[in-house]
Amino acid sequence: MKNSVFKLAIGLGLGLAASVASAQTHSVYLGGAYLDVRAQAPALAGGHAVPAPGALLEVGDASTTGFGYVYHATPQWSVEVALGIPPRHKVYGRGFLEPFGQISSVKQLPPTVFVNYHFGDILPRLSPLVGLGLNYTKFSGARSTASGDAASGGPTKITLDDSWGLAAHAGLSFMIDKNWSLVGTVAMAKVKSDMKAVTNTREGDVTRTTTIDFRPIAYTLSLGYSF
Amino acid sequence: MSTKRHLALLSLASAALAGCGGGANNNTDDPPPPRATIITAVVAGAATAAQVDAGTAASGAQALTGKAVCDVEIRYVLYMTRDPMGQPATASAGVLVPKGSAAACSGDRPVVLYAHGTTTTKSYNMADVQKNGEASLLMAMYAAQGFIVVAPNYLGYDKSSLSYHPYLNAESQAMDMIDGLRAAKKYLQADSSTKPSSKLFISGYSQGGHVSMATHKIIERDYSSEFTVTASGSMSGPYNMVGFGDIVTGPGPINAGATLFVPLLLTSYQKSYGNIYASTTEAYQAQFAPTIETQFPTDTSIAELIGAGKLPADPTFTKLFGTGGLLTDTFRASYANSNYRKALQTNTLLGFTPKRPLVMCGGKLDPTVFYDVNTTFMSADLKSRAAPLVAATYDLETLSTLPAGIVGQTMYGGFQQAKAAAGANAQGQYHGTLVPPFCTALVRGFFQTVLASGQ
Repeated sequence: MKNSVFKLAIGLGLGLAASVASAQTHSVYLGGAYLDVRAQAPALAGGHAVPAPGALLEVGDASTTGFGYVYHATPQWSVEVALGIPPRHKVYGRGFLEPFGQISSVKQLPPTVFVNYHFGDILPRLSPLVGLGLNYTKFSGARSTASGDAASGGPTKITLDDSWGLAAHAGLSFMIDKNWSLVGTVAMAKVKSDMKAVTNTREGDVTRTTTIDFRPIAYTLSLGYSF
Repeated sequence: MSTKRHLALLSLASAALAGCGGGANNNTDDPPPPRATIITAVVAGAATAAQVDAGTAASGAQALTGKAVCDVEIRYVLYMTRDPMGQPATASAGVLVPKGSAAACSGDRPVVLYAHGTTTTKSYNMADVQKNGEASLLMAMYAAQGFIVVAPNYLGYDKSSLSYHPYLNAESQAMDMIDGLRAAKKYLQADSSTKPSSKLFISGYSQGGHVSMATHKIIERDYSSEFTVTASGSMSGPYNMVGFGDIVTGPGPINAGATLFVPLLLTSYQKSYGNIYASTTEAYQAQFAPTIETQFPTDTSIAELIGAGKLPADPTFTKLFGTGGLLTDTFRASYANSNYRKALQTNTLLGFTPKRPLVMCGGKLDPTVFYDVNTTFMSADLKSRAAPLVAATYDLETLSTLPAGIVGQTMYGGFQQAKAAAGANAQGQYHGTLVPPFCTALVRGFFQTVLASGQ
């Protein structure tokens, strides 16, 4: 399944390359994004045993400013680089960790490249689009809160591996005039990262690990300017 | 429209859009969970009245505890509190709950908030009534007689998240006690048929003598809208920290156990106040300086630590100074104006005027927590301000200080008998073994009198 989706993405990319010369329009956009994180992660492994269901995590939603650049190769095909100011997500304890509340937070920088297909107008000036792409997510600034340190049993350093994964989005574009447009999208991406928390205790370092499947859905609304 | 205007409009619009979601970078962490938030709370065990009696019959304590009236349910709660720096930290408590059909064992029962004595054992747990002698004494003395016992294990012990113990830090330890009490009461209100009444007694032994009096003081000072202390009974405690320190660090004699107490104390005050020493070598002799600050509490045995050269090789635990001793001569010489002495002063309880009845109990010949500089001094201090609520200062060595009549005579006679039976070991067992059951029985008697009087 994954493979076939990937092949489709490559296919779209090749199709695009063939038609680059036909129409040359650039767009930039700036807007807001709301990241609904539906993370799933098995209980943290390592450290002292805790009662069932174990030490679980929930990653909080975040909002950020999104911006990007779109290269319209043809009226139907475009390539988009979607960026955003890295939002900070709060991470909450669940299971045994639930009473600790917010135990950590992490920033993520998720640049994504999409190949988009633009349909014709379904209403005057309103056209749908779909896109497939590749997401890279870099996690930074992960830190344990004081409450998280109490949950872990000492000062704790957290790291998350970078993630590569497929992304897809769909949306609607409304042309305000020949330059200005309003674009709303719903995007999903495969973002999966190995997390490591190292707690410094008097008895030495205690390492706990899990793998977080973030399963984010991003809702964006942007104002675009084409030239 | 010019391009400039376009771009200005674009950024304005996007700012408005981003604003909908609450901004891009939210660096504001949630506040930590409130104090006394329950992390886990479980029923950890149970003892029938018959089992309690079997225990006290075997130990010989039954003459003091009496026969059990109630079965006892043992509960355990891990709760959120704050460390001396105000940061969130967890600590745990044992909760001993009377059960049974008798009126004294059900419904709303008075609470004894109990502060345990010094231990170097990290896994010390007052919910472990089978292995923990102090907890089993409390079970027989109070819980089996209809009192709910809430006995915090203290920050730094058992499953606590704190890497050290704020030993004899009056404010910190009182806060831990209060949060343990809150968490235990909340837990029992939600989950137990036997509920805590509003009657609150506070007691503790040795270190816990200090902690219990500090808790009495701080509840009346800061928490009077939440709790009313019914009475307190502090036992064999170092109430006069600075006076005690002046003797031990000055001319002596050095109290039995000092080589264990002093590292706990220095680490506690160093972590709390940050100014006891710039480096451990300022206080400790070279052999001990590298490891001693983070040594306690530990589940490594004292014998093993001595064997590894991490504590002075001295079975009386008095080798504070000199060759092979714990502390440097410089530390001792600079004691008078030191921040250590200031910290002891900060945590001295002289000057406390209780609003509710208070007793103290101890034994005048105590080699571990000297009686006169602590109990006699504290008693005189209370009397100097005419604190009318000081009900008594029980000295097990002086019959006239004990309750009049058969009770006092029995206690006095029993204590002398127990000392005689211990023979050559009497001094070694004085503080840790011989005094506790007698003082605990006397304090319980006082609490029962206060309850009966309806004060």
